[in-house]
Amino acid sequence: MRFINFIYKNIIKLSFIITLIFSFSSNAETILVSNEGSDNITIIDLKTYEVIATIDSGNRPRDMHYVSSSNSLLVAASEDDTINIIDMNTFKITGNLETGDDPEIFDISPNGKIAVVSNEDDNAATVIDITSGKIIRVIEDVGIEPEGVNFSPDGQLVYITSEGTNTVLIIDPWEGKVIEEILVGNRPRRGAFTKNGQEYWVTNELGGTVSVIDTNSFKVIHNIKFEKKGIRSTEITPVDFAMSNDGSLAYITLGRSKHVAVVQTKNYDVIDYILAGSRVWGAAISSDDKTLIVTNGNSDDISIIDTDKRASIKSIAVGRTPHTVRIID
Amino acid sequence: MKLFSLQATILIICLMSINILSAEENPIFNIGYYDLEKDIRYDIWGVHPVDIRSNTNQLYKRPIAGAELGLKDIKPFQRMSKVKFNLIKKRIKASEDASETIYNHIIKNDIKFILLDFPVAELLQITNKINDLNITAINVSSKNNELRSSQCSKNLFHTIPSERMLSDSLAQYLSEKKWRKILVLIGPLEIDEAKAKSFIESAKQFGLKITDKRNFVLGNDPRARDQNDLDFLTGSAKYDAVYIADTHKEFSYRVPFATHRPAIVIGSSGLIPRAWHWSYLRHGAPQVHGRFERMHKRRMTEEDWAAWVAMRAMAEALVRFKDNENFSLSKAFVNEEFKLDGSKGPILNFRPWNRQLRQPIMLSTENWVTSIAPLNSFVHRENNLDTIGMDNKTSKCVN
Repeated sequence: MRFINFIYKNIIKLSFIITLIFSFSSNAETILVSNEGSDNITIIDLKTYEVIATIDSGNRPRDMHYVSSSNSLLVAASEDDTINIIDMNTFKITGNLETGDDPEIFDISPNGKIAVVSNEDDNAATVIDITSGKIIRVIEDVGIEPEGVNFSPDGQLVYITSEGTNTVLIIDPWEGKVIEEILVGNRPRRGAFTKNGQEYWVTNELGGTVSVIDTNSFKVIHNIKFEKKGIRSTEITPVDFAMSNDGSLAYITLGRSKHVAVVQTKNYDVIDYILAGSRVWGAAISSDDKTLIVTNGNSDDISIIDTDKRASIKSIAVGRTPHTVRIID
Repeated sequence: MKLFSLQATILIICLMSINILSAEENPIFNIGYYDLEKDIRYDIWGVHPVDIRSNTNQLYKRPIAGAELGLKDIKPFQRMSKVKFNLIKKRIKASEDASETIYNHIIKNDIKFILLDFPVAELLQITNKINDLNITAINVSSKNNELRSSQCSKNLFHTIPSERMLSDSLAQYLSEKKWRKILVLIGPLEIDEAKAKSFIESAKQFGLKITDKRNFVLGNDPRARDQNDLDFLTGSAKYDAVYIADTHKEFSYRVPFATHRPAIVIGSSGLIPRAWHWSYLRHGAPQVHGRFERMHKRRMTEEDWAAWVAMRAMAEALVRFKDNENFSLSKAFVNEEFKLDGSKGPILNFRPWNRQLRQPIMLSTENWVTSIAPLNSFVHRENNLDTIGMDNKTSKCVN
């Protein structure tokens, strides 16, 4: 009787634990959303769209990367000037990486040894040794307000977008040198490599375009423009990317216009616009390319988009001002 | 002989390398910044031991501070624009003739671009004088409407908004809130009259009703209490809001919470329309405030922003449009492809008809941005930013 009572009283807790065990023991994919306004991370099951847990992070969590070898999540806590290491078994912060001031976007080298983070307030990029959590070097003068950071697929170079200088800087993080600077559109926010590594795409938030850079010649070879009837050009503010795993499509969030553009990578044709939420910023795609998740910064929710129908099928409330979304196995 | 040719070769190589080095040294691009030693707008104020207009140091509040941050921020543009920026500051003494001094200074120092921080009267003299120099100038502080209309000048651009842009922004907000009955209080200065006139025009355009216009004076004379006592000034009238035009601000600061009827106060105190406010948290604005405060140890004002964005405008034009020796900044500024990032939301550019920078306006209290104009419900056939300020039909600028 006591046992039954115990079960009865704790049924909610138990079911929560069981869901957790299921979601992390099975191979189901999980959605992670950092909420910069409420200082936490929402974890959602990709199959059922149920919120599994909401876990605390440091202050103003923004970019995140999952490290599968240690089952941990690295989260840039901008206001705390650090990157949190969150153990995904216990959902507790187990350590921090040094970052310098105001880390926003970062990337991890393909060999997992170092991370490079943009310090928006210091006009610098910081290179961090992941094992020790210590700063190796700071690369100064990467333009005003550096933001997007991406390791080249071979891990040799890092591409950084500089919002205030309208350029992409290519740096060698291992030597700490600026290799090249490329003029792009106004307020370049984020970048993404195409799956074959031949091109680096950059969103120009205020220019309203995407610049395509050839990674061999370091030249801008194409500008993708967005036009949709009923949307003024000033409303088109591209920010983030999700590149489909099969390499054929790029999904680009268009901020104020509330739409996500679907672009063919082979010929840069914009083939569709999908309606999402208010100030749509972050984007991530499932491993089977069937589901696209975007964060809507102004309505505190995410939209689940069916990529076959090219339509939003559900929106899920998360924390305040969702910033980055990732999908992990 | 062999030795000689070797020496000659070395010498030639040395000379060549010097040539290469000097070729890599970018030419200097001189920027002139001019203001007045005695400018009533920057007077230290009142009898208080501290200036109560702000909780931060106001002694050095001249917008030159914004230009200095601008210079620092455009340094990375040097790599792309292939010039070296140099800011030359000159403060005009009371004994000097501003237009004459600036004219000679520009020629003597080979200055390519100037920022002007002057009241309207001096500004007009200066722009008339330098008209034949074919130099591009940006006005960073005078909001005078006529400078954007009947008194416009072909090489004078404006990054600070006009009074009309500011008063239209307020009128849009009141109209949206349906606070339509307005009492107008006008200060003793000519510039106060101009401000109030601009607001009255805006009120008419956006369907507000001015229930009365009254002049105030600063003082305690009981014989003039109908003009210096707030209960009298704001009594016996119907209104939802009290608009006050007071450049000096000493009177207007006492108006909120002290009107005869419960009403909001707008204009020179209460809800104030500004080009920029330090409390704005979006669109990369906090990064700009942060850099400014670290550099100058005070809040960034709208004039600081106007000077900062003027420097950015110049750098942006050089990077994108400088393709030959005949390059003209004035032409680049009105090029259809010119796009400026002012860290307050949309892309900014200059209105070709009067060279005023299009921009959103922050309707702000002392420590918060309450709303941004243009408000969403006001749309324009081409650019919503043109719902505030003089559009190409209302501006009388023909130059």
